[in-house]
Amino acid sequence: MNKESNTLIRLMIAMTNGRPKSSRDLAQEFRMDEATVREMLTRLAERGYLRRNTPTCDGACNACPLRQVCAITPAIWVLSDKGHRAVIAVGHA
Amino acid sequence: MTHSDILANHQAREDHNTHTASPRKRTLRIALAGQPNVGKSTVFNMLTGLNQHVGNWPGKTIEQKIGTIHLPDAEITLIDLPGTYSLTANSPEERIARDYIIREQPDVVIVIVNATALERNLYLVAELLQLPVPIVVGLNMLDVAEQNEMHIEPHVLEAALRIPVIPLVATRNQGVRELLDTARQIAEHPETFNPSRPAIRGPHSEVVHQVQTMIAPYVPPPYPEDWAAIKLMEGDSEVTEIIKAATPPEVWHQIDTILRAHEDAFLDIVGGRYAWVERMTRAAVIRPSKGPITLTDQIDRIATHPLWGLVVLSGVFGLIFWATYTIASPIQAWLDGELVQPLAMTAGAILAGAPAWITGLITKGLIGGVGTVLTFLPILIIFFAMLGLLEDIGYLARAAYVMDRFMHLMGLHGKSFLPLFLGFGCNVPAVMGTRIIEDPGTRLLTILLAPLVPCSARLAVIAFLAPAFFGRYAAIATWGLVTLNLIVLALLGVTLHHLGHVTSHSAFIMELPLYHVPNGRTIGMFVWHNTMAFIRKAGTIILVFSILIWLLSALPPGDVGQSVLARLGRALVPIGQLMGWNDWRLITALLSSFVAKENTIATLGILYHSASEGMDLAQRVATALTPASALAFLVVQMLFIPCVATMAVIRQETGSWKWSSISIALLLFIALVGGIITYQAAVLIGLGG
Repeated sequence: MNKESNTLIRLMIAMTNGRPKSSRDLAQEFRMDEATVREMLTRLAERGYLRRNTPTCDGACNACPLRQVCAITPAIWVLSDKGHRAVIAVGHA
Repeated sequence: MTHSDILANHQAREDHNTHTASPRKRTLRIALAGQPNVGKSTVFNMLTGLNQHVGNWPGKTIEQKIGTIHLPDAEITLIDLPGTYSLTANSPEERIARDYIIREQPDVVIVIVNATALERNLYLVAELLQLPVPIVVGLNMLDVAEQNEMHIEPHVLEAALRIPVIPLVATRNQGVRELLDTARQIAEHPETFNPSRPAIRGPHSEVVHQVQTMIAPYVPPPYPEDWAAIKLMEGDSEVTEIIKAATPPEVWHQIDTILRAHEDAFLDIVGGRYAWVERMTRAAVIRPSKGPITLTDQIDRIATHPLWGLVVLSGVFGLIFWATYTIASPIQAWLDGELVQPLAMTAGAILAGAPAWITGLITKGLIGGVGTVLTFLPILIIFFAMLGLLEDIGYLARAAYVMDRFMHLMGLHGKSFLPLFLGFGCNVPAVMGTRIIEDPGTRLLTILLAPLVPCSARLAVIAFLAPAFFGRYAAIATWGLVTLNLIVLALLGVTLHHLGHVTSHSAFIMELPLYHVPNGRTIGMFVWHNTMAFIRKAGTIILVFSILIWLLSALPPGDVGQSVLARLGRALVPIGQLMGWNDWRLITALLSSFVAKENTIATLGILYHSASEGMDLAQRVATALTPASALAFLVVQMLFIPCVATMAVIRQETGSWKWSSISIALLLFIALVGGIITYQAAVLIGLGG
């Protein structure tokens, strides 16, 4: 499937242009529901094309008096190496 | 001709036959499928009433509901399948749903679809259509969709899907009976079922056919060959195991080679389903031009705007400082003046007969040091309450989002802001949080920048001193100090970014939660956890260091001006004089912040103890400084090297003493230059010298 008609590929391409986006931005860009976009992100992550990333401080933060603040960080999705390869494979470097 | 028309023709022929054939009670099995929270249970209850049996699916702890519908001419068994978003092997619910359909082969599947989330729900329909079973769609919650200004044409959808689509408002029992009647007709005339199915386009469609041909002789019944081939290409773990077990090793080896070479077939298969969903909804759904305008949308127009978002963020920070000074600072000053000082005097009176070192340790070291730090509590409680409130209503994610865009403008890595943002709480998680950045150069850059984010302990120290230094201008001064730190951070970031030729620009997608009414308990827990952690810190590291500072200030016994600490401080006075600090005690207090930022106040509390009666500590410190030197003191305090815990984490995360040393040297240099420039500039504009 070419990159124009495959929303999954378009979504990954959107993650290579160096600008952070919210799932709402993407939903508007692709004229889709935000829930659908989030579901696509989940499916891509399940297959290793994306990673859901949240800064954590692991066990090393246990002594930190303010470790609770860690919980306030929003979750982000980033393209994995596999995702980068897939984007390159459809001719979008 | 829609599917309803075709069925109507068949029904007419059936009615004709009924008059000529003997009546016979039919038995049918209908499965009820749908995503979670679409009203499936409501439909099930409406149809079966009390004729339900609730148990568990064989071998699972997932609830199974089976009901019976007694009709004059038919006995229908209705099986409520678990709610699932798709039919992959990801969860037990999804396996149960698809296994039931494949193995038990019900006469028809009714799929309940939520009209307000049609796109998302049709994905499940797309998956079901790849199984050999007829389907009827119950389009539920149409009333809610209309309320959201979303207009759906069921007939257009039906024509596109080529599947019967029955409009429902299940909660009002509207359309439920018609849904059942249509399902019956489809079950009795499965030959009329000819839906529009999702297609696999592109190079992988050929590969799917190739795999299907290869597995065809080995696919165990009742699994459909085409479905098994698609699921294999999709990477479905359960189907892969089944086919692998049923296929001779040499054939499996060939199949496995193909699967590995065409790993991205997943994108064509799943992308094909989404393209199908898009086509199905395009004609049938009329949305408001920009989607339903929710409260979140309205707020986000400003809150996430590239420019106004920054203005809002700046205002929010200003509000935090204003609230802190208006509410917390007076309480803090009261605690210091009415509790700590009298406590020290009372303790001094009680210990009048005790050795001088015991009196000094308790009144100066413990009460003056730890006691003063504990008066921070109101400041921290307000700070954490504001932070917790902003997080709970959903604003903090926007703050990160807005700042992230801002940092991109400066050429910094997009993901750097997230860990840096944590730095407002504490620099330690900020440094640890850089682990989300893959590029080593960008990660190192972010680690070097993290200590410039003023942590809550630094802010508390500023909140303690600023009112005495700047009076009613304290909030503005603090806001300016925080802004200065962020400007320095940005400038340093841009400089190091270009020097280091860091070029990684991978973007990311951030989840922005909906705004919602804050929950008092959540915020309360947030404040409680953080406050208790601070008290623990005061009772351990700050306590120990307060005693150490007091010891150094009390040895050798006699004049504090001749103590070890004084000698150390005086050695650095020539540097301090560049910023107008002639008092060694200020320099010592600043150095002690390396252990923990709050120690600045503990040290000042010990060294300025009872220097001038009738004034609180901050006022006593203020008398030792001109406005220019006071401002320089706060600037250096803000830009100074971070606490030892942060430095330890920097060493751990960089794995390098060299970079840890560079970080210290860089921050010392920046703090010194910042302090000197601030002092000299303030003197030039007449703030005293």
